[in-house]
Amino acid sequence: MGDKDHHEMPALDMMQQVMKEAKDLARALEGTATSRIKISAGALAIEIEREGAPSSGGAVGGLVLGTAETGGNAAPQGHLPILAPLVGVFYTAASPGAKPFVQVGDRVERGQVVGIVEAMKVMNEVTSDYRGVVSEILVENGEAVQYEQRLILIDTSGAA
Amino acid sequence: MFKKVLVCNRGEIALRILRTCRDLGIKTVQVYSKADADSRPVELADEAIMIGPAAAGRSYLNIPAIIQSCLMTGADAVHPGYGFLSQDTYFAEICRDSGITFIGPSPEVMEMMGDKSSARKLMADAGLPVPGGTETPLSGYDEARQRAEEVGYPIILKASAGGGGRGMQVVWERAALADALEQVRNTAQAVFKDNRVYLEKFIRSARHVEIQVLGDQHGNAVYLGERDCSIQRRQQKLIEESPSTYIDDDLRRRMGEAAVAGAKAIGYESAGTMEFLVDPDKQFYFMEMNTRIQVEHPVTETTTGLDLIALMIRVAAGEPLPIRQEDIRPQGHAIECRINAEDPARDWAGASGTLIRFIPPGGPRVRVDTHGYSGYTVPPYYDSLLAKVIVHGKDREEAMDVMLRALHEFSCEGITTTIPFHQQLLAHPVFRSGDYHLDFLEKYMSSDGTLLPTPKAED
Repeated sequence: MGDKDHHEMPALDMMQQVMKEAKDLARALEGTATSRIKISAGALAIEIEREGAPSSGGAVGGLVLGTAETGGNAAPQGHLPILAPLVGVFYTAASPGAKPFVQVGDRVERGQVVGIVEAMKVMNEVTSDYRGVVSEILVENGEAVQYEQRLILIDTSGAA
Repeated sequence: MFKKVLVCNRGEIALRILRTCRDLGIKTVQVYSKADADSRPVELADEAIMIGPAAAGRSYLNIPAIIQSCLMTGADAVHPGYGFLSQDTYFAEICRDSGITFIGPSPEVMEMMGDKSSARKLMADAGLPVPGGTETPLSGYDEARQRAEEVGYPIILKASAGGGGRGMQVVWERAALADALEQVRNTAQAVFKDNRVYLEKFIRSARHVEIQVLGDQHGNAVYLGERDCSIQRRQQKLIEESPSTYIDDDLRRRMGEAAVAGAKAIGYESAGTMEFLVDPDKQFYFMEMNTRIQVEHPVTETTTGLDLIALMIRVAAGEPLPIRQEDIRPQGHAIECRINAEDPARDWAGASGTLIRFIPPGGPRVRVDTHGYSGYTVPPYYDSLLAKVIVHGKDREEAMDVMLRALHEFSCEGITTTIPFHQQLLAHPVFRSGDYHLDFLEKYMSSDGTLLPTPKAED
């Protein structure tokens, strides 16, 4: 952990390194009351705010993408994540240009198809585990996702 | 040379591969299961992708997820390590079809050597000595009985598709043959989904001496000396060393040349190990070939000064072997102890739990390959290997003493390991004398896990 030489690192590597450290830190803070982390190293500074806290920019997306659900609970109360069932490429629609399966604000039922993960040219449907309203789509169309990566948040607070 | 290597393994061997990739300036991708999210390989790789849950079948053996991870990250080669997919012909084929280099031999060679009875025949044809036995799988009890009479008891029944010490049984007399055949067949069917069984003369009072070979895609092959792995429990190695005290320079050269002849006969183009038994008359017999890197490869790295993982990667990229046989001059004596999360007093039952305090040894002539750290939780789902301690001495005596020093330093609290077992072993007069055989533990180990100074009384 402490064996890296930050001084010799090229900017890109350093950026990636800081991002990685930030993700680790953020993961460690999941479930705590902390909602904002700021990390700076040399000229670089990364500020992260957790979902549910007032957003101040794009950094939130940067944190959530690529972070697998590891049992923590970073989502706001009543908002539950739909996880990637396998490694692959996430698509929000059945084909390019088609209407997305769901958009923010849409009501979804348990078992409803909300996206696709393509792996080895096989399309795997992603279905909602919950009944509720789509509150956030965390992954861009066409983005690579890992196993159990958080894809979509469902607000279940109003669901009967 | 490859730009990015994906490591589809875990634990110490994943770390081992990541380290060499860094030395070679190759970027790395580590795929991992949910149970390994907090592991050192995941932390140290350039990129890490969680590919499935703890169960190996859905993660480390999940071929579509691994290939998909290569495609997503642009990895142009995969290193399979040992275990998991390292000897999976189907995986190697899919890698090739996907334009990804499998760092290992070709699927065709893996297939030939993966089947034990086919390997036995191929190596016999290449001039390697094999124990008397059957050329083809047994048709049934009648043939087994007849063949067993021909070679003479004791015989050993082996599953053609077997490996890792499973699917083998020694038969001492004809009365036990029928039951043993049935049992080995059932195990073979259950474990390997293939009930073909063959038989061989059982070599008594033997030593396990294996030869490390290395071939390239240009028809070159060399041997890198032997490893003696004769201290085993249920065909599982516990300690390995080189050179073997059991063979002299002439036999060493003949075994090495036989191993190279075998490797060349099948066009072997990676790191591999030819396993032999050596009997008290100093006859050696081919047993099987492991077509992958082995756990105990650091023993050979220590005596030869070579990086076997680097060489494996280079030859997989098509480079010719950078060394000739005459360049290889092993120095001194190396010993490796496998520190497993296991309890010898409870019949080597695996242990899992959190390492409360974990301080591996260091100092002169000591190398430790481990993924452990203080606070690390050893998951219960995988292999029990936690660390390998490798030492180098000018001779065996010195190496054993350095190992005792290293084991004395090793703090590993929170989990039961084989450290105390190795301490007893390295102090044991018979082990120190070098005069023992594969039945050492059967003879000297009591059921409470202690080693006795003299053999147990026969039941």
